[in-house]
Formats: sequence, C-alpha cells, structure tokens
Amino acid sequence: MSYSDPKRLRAEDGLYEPLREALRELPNSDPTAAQLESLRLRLGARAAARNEELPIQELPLSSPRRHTPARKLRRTIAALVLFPVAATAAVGGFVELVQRATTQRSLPPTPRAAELRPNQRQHGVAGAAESTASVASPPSPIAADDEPPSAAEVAPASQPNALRTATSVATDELPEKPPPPAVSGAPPVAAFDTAPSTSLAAETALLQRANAALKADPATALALVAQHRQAFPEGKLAQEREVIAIKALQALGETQRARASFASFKRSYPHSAHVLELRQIIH
Amino acid sequence: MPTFETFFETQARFVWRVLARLGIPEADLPDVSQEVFLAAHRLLPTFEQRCSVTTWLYGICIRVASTHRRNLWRRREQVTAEPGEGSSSSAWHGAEVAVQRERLERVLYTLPEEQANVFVLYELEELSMSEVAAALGTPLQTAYSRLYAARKAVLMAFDERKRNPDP
Repeated sequence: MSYSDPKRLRAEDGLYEPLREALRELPNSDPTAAQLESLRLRLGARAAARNEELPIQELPLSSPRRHTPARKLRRTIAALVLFPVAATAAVGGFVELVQRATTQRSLPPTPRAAELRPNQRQHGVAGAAESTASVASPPSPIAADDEPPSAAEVAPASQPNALRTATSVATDELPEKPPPPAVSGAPPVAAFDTAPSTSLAAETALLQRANAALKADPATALALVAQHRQAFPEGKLAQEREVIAIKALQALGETQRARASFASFKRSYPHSAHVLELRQIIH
Repeated sequence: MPTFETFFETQARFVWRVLARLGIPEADLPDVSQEVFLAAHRLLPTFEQRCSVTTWLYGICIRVASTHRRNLWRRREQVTAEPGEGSSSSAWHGAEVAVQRERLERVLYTLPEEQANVFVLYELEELSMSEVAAALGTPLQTAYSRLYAARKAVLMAFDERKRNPDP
C-alpha cells in the first residue's frame, strides 16, 4: 500500500482558526446514564421476546467485494447455523461471539488509531475487551437524575392518556396483588420509594421482571407493569413499560385493548423502533 | 472475562457517539442505537474479521444512520430537529466554538452523504484512511477522492464565512 494518510485538516497550516476549533473541540455526545439504561433494557427485552425474525431492512455488509452466490449461500448457512444459538443466548450470545471475534483479532495488535488517540477511543472495541476492570460494575444509575431530560423521559410527559386504558385493564384483571388505588398517596411498592439515585435501577428491575413474565404469565407481567406505572408515572422507561403492556394485553387475548394501546403508543412515540415490532404482534 | 454490562456500556457509548457525529438528531439516538445493535446482532455471522470489530461497527452505524435519514426524509413533516439546529450541541458549552461547530454540521449536512461520512470518520473519528475505506466498503482511492471533495466543500463554506461573517 503506497498511500500514507494525509494530515488531518485540523493540523493543516494556515487553516481558518474557527474551523480548526470546530474540528478539534468536539461536543460531548456520549449518552447519559439514563439513556444507556433505557437502551440496555430495550435490547434485553427484544432479545428475550424474540424468536421471530427482526423487522429490520436488509443491510448490506460493508464489504468491498461483490456478493457472489457462493458467498451468499455460505452466509445463509452460517446464519441458519448460528441463529438458534444467538437467539437462545440472545444478547449474551451476541456479546460472547463478538468478544471471541475481538480476542481472536487482537492477537495482532488492535488498530493503531487506538494508540494514537487513547482519550477519544476509550469507548471503542479495544477498550471493551481490555478495560474489563474499569467498567465491569453493574449498571450504575447514579448520574441518572442529574442529567438533563433525555429523549426517553421527555416523551412520557406528552402521552398522558396513552395507556390509561391499559392501566385500568391491569387493575381490573389482576389475578392477585392488585396495586393499591392511586389515591393513596404512598407509592405502592415500598422498595422503589428509595433515594432518587436508585430509582432507575428499580425501574429497570421491575420492568425486567415484567418482561420475563410475559411469555409464561402475561397477567403477572401486566400487574408488574401497573406497579411500574404507579411507582414511576414519569419514569424514564415509560416507553418500554408500554411496550410490555401492549404485548401482555395481546397475549391475554385482549386484542381490542392491545390495539387501542398500540394506537396511542404510535401517537406518543411515532419514531420508536418498537413500532415495527408491535405492528407484527398486533396483526 | 468482560461481563455483558462492560461490553454493552462501552459499545453503546461508542455507537451512540458515532451516530451523533454522523448527524443523527439527539431525539432519535435511542432508536437508532438500538437498530445498530440489532443489526449488528443479525449481521454477526457475516463478520469476517477482515477488519476490526470497531471498523465493522462503524460500517453498520453508517448504514443504519443512512437508512434512518432516508426514512426521515420520507416523513419529513415529523422531523423535529435537523442537525445544525443545536440539538447535538445543546449539552456543549463554549458558545463561540459551538457556533463554529454548528456551521460545520450544516456544511456536512449539505454534502452528499458518502462524502460527509468519509469526512466524519477521518477528520472527527480519526480513523486511518484504510479503516475508513473498510468501514464504508469502498476502494481506498474512492475514499480519498470523497475526502478531498468533502474538504473542499468545507473549506469553501468556511471561506465564505470568513469573508461575510454573520452580523
């Protein structure tokens, strides 16, 4: 390879200084703790709920070569072989596979850019494989409540009625442990009435339980969702909550209500990635 | 052995940041990040270790971002914020630099997508040119010509700013 990379633009002599600044001073675009948590939950929920094909368009792999039929066939076989594995192990399997790939790869040293700018690249894959110790702690919701409102929590405010229907359904139909009436000011779940810094973890835990119950016992899932709605009416994971609620209603055969809830979900979160998935379930 | 939490945390930040730099509005980052992870999961069997996982993920980010932009375009009436309207700079202080940064985003937004992608990966993410080419699935020479085209456009835009600064 006879090319050597050109100087970065920001390092060029005589560059218009404001442009240099713009190239050098990148805004901090890392997600907040709450945004991360929400994403984690969504992916967990998707992985657990999934046995169907993902509703994502076919994305061509970044490969400079043409896709020959043989290659396609090989991929199909690989996909067929690997899909059950991946589906079973869900996201965990994904992680493990990527890690295997990473470790295999990292026999030759990781890309040199990683050494060039350790500060900017600390979130890269190299970091993922190597900096186990630094981030290995469980999800840390500490900063959650200091953050400025994120997309995840702005939306719930705008959907007051979205799933009121589901709430009433939930409270009507709970086979056991109906949540106390909303009027009694005290939060129904004492465990969640702790310091604000733990509320995100509590939200997550509750919804994870709901999601786990979805298949075997949708009624319980609905109950847990109702608990969440009462404990965290303005919760950061409201969108995820409603997804679980809709799935539970559908699983219980409450198709009308599921459909109604889905309609308001679409109004509240028109861009949500869950819409595609829910559409498949509802129809 | 890294836990899932470790892996997810590092990957998610990385994916999130790249998508933001690629001009995805902040409000859409959760959804688009999720799509990247799902796509990565799905495409994993086809990962061929010809490039690093990072480079591979860049490629996925770019494709998902591009699909997302096209969808946004299709339902334009629902777009709430375009890049350059301060969405991605909102958390960023340093007013003057922020203004310049916003200008840069605007210029990138007007470029053909493939040029803007090369520019972001090389000038902002600081990949090497061969990594850029691998992530985008283009020949190296193509990546170069796109980089130079993008640079030219950026320099011209800032040159005009220099001559006619905003009041």
